[in-house]
Amino acid sequence: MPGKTTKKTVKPSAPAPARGRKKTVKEPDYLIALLVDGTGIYASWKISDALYGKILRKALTDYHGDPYLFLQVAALDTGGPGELEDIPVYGRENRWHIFTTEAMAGRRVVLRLSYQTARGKRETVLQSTELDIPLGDAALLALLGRPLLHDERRLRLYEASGIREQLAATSPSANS
Amino acid sequence: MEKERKRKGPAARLVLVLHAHLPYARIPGERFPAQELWLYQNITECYIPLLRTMETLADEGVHFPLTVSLSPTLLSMLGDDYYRHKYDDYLGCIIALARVHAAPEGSALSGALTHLARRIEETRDRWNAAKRDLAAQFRILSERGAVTLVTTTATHALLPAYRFSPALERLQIRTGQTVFARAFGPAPRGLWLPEMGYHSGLDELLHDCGVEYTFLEAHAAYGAVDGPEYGNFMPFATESGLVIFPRELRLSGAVWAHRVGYPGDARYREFHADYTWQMSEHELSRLGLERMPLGIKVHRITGDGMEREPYDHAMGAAAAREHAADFIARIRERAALVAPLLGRPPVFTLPFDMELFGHWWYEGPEFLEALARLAADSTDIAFVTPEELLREGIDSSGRPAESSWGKSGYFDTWLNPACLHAYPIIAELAERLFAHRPNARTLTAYRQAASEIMLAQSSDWPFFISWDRFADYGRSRLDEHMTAASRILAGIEAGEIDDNYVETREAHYPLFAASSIESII
Repeated sequence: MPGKTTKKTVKPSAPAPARGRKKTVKEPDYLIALLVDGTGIYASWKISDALYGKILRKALTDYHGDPYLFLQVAALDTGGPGELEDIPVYGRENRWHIFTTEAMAGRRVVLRLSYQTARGKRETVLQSTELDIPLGDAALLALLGRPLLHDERRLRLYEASGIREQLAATSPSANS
Repeated sequence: MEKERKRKGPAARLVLVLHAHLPYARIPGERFPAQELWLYQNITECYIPLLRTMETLADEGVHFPLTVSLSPTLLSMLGDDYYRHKYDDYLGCIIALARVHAAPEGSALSGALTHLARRIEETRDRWNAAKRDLAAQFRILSERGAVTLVTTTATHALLPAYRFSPALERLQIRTGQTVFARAFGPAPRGLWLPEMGYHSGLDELLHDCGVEYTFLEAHAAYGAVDGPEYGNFMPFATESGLVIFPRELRLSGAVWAHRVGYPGDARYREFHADYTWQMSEHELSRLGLERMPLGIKVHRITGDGMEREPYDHAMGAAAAREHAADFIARIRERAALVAPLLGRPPVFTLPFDMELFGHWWYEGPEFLEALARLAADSTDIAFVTPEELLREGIDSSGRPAESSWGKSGYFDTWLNPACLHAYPIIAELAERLFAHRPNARTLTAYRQAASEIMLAQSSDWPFFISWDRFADYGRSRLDEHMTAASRILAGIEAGEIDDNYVETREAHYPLFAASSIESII
């Protein structure tokens, strides 16, 4: 599901600063990644004027002069391929929803926002905090043959725990 | 004297955790606004009855150690004379209404109304005997060893929503610990994570803040690589040393589950039917009241669409005892199933919202009392505290998975399209706060800006929005605190603080005014 650029609802309403007393407040850059449910990651980012200027100096730009940006899901552990998803995105301030895949299940990942240079190289400008993508039921079953979960006792404990029924009963699709 | 403890090791040990939390609400212009009634009804139906139960058990030497989490927002309200005065007024009103409507004797509801009036009069006696200081009562029970007190984050923030700002998470955790220490003395060893929300790396932050243990949802013990070997049936330590007590689902479900849990039994008091709606305008206006759900509940659960029958407390109390006995049987059954898989007796962690016991489930305190007595008389079931188990040593370790309790198990109630917009805004406000170093001129405004940011973080607002219950209130509180924080920060940044505005905000939301927030940041 593509994200969309949105405007903030909160506006500072303090009196205008007096001449000569204005302090420079550094605009924050951020890339926020949140695990929204078992199957999705919400990403939200903001690029300050300073950073945007830096990107524009080196980036490949489109017809409108905007840089080509990419949101990448990268695994930090060593359980498989490092790059799990690479999504072309746009906008200095934007949001994106990424569906987690079986390849991501059980992995520790970060999101990176990068631009493409005129020479085709990728330069990362923002990185999120780490996310541990949960192992869903399907992933658990698909992966049981691997040493990671090849533990008969843990499987039996999982079955005894009632988690499968609990999550199925309260999943958004079951309730909708 | 505590009864003689079991000689033989128990077949199952249980950690019972009651988490008490209400959102901070203060509406001075109104006598009984709905948001404050949550507090008054919970004091009447839950906090005082549970204190009474715990005191009775402790007096009789019945070993039933409970772990109690009291949120800083609730503690602030319990310690504020503003609420104490209004609660006195509230008690007087509902006793008067119940007494007046109990006559004539023999009418359908007179028995239930008389019971209610008598119960609330007892509550008022306890309230006065406690010098209207319930936090002190919890402290006394803690000193007697009957409860282990833990804290939670400052305003009940779902920490995974702020994983991108460890400084903001730390502010929530440390402020919670500070408020707790002010009420009870030393910092607590445990911390309740709001909504049991856990994200990767949070264990390290908690451990850095001096937290030794917390409680997580059951699937936290299965969903990660390198999960603990005993699943959710034993506490386990993370790499950082934080000990996790994962929830046991089946037993918890017997108590809270909406349709299959004990509280749905037809002999219990109906939560949703408030007799205030049936009272005459005349009786209400004599007490200067408008019609509102005051918490006068005198029917039993009778079924959807049926004429509700009067509540019979003797019947409800008998059901609570019966359910306590059933629960003991279920614990044994569960232990018999799980112990062979573990090769040892399990530890079942049972965390609940405290307000379930008494407020949502009126007979909940009686259920707990009966459960305590049955467990104390048994040779194979023992209630323990997390700290007893920590003393024994935790021999299981593993990595917890990201998780929460609630719908879908992964933050869905608090992180969804209806409320996701707020988190980046709060992140930006926090960046602006952390960019400033307060001085004598800016300190008050700085503290209030931090308070406003923390108040915006309360998990209650997205909960209200997502479940469409008090959704407008949730949205308005979220916007109110974000706007106030933004305005105060803009004043600090511009060097032109609007002192009147800051004072007004502090008077309205004074809960962290005495906290040295700047030393935490």
